[in-house]
Amino acid sequence: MQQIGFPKLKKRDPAPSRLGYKFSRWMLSPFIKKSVFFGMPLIILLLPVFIFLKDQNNKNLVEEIVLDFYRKIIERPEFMLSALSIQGSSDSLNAEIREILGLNFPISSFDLDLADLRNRVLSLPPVETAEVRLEGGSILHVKVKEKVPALLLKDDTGIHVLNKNGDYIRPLLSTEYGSKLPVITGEGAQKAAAEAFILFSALYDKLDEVRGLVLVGGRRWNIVLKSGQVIMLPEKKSEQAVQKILILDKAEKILSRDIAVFDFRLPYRITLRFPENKDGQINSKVIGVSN
Amino acid sequence: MELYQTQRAMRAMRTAALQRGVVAVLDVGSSKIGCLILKFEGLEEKIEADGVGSLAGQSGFQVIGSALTRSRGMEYGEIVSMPETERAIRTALQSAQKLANSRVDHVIACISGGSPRSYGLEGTVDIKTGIVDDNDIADVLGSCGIPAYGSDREVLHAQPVNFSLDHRTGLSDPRGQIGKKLSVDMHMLTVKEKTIHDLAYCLKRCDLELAGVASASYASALSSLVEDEKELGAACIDLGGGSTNLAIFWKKHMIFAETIKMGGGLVTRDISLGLQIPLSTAERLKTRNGGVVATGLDDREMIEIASETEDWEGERRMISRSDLIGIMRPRVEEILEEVRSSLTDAGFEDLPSQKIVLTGGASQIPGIDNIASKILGQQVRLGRPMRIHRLPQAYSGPSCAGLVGLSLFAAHPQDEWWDFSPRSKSFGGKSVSRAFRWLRDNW
Repeated sequence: MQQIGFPKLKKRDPAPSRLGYKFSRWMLSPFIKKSVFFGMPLIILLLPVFIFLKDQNNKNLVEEIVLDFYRKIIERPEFMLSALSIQGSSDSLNAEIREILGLNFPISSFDLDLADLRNRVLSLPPVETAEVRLEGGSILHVKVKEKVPALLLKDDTGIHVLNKNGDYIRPLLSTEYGSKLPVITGEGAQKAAAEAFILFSALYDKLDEVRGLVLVGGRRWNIVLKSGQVIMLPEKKSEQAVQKILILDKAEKILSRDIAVFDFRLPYRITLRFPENKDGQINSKVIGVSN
Repeated sequence: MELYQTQRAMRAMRTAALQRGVVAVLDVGSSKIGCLILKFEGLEEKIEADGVGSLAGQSGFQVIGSALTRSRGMEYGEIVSMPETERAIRTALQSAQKLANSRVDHVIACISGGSPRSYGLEGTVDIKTGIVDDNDIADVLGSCGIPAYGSDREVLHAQPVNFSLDHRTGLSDPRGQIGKKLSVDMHMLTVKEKTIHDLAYCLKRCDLELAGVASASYASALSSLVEDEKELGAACIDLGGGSTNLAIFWKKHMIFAETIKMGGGLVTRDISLGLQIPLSTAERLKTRNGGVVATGLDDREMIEIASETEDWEGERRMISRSDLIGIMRPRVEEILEEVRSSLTDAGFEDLPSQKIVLTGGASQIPGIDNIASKILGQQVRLGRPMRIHRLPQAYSGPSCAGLVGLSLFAAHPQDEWWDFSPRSKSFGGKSVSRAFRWLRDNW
């Protein structure tokens, strides 16, 4: 009798094939294992993102959303500044600072670059030092120190106010014409202004009689007195020369004499020049000798 | 000397494997192939933090992958069909690697076949410096007279068992001690060269490097004997499927190993022959209903043997359990008799303690300790391998004693002959040391 049934299937060998065995070992080697379990999923996850962002419209859309979200965060009331407070400046400078900062309140503190603001304030000529900080969360605080006017510079363009270092502050205002500040002039006088200030300090009790200092040849100063007399100072050690003049004046009252020019250019040989009348003759009355 | 080099190379390989942290142990037996993947990192610190290490510091590794598969192409612990064995090893290794989720390149294997022979060697050397150091140990090991064990055999183990220094004996490590004459007793185990080479070739075909070999007897004894038994003298009998391995331990060292080419597989064959049933049915009958001591109850306990051929009447039989026991017992007795005779040959009676530990798959036959104590002596116990970290429950039975022992061997191998580098006797070595001395003296 013929047996009916399914032909017996060959029993499968449970052993892996050589190739399968090698492949499984290769898959378990550390680098492959890591790249399969971490690298591939990462690539699969990131690939759609890259494809999506390849389109410029999509990129713009995403950027817009992100920017919008960013603005929403930084424009929260906690981060908004409501006012600007300026300390240590005059009203006119106050207005100038406000103008140069150009801030429209309310503004978010994230939009401000404090270092840049400080530089902008410092770029104003009258400002010597400036400090910019956020105070109390909602107020932008600017603290400035103005330059102190010390000298007046007279040149072709008009009269300018300088501080004692010669830094330009502003043109002389019409209201300040009566100013008591000492005047300097001459070519390159602004650069040598610090020197002039020292000379003025040395002349402190004669300041009323001094009309101003003139820089001659860009290297030495002449003191011009209100009486029209001129004191020519040496290039070097001018301060000592001034002191010498003051001592001489105290002792001999030379400044009150009728002398046109005191030439101190050579410290060891002081030269005096007498005034001349309109005929070019020395006034004998001045020297006390009749000819 | 060639083996000396290969063994050293294997030690270097083992060091490399431990540095990588993952090593596999492979027990290629006649009935099953077991594979454990051990991980060697991160455990030392944990144990030190605890203060007391688990398993008395034997640990330091954990099992991260394991596989057990039916052995193919093996008979009596030897490879008879290389492609079949290779497939079986691949099966075991692949599933173990999958479980461990890591690749393993180094494997430590054990050899049960190859008709091992034990030799006791002696060597004596005079100590020149007065204090024993590594070089003296190497010298004394090198001074042992090597017997002519045959050109077709290779040395598997060469372990120094006992050192004597002058009149003191029983030293396990004489280094640093002072004496004049150092002598050593060494136990050397040789197996057939072909067995080792076959196994190494098989593993090479599986892209694995052999990082160590151990005798199967030694491996099962390592995991089954407790410290006291190793110290006082004990025999571990691993009743395997194809062969029975026995190892005698004394003073914590193996002093004798032997393989008997009879095992549980023979019992199955007897059942198959006696009851005219297929081998697979016979194997199941043996494991489910087997036994070696019949009682009155067993006469009445009937076992139904289903047939494989679709022949209705003739093949549907009932046998009593006594019949089964009647078939099994003579064979088990024969195996144990065989064990006794080789124990007698090894002089086991002279040891202070004659503890016998039965382990291996066939030691699970109910009542075997009963008849073993009648044949081998009173001090018989059934041994189970010690626990190692994260060993699966299925591997904690006596049938996996060899596997666990191999893991212990992989973690803490005993110092063998090749672990001591011999003193360089050439002129070159001498001149180098002389030059060194000259430098030291003159600077």
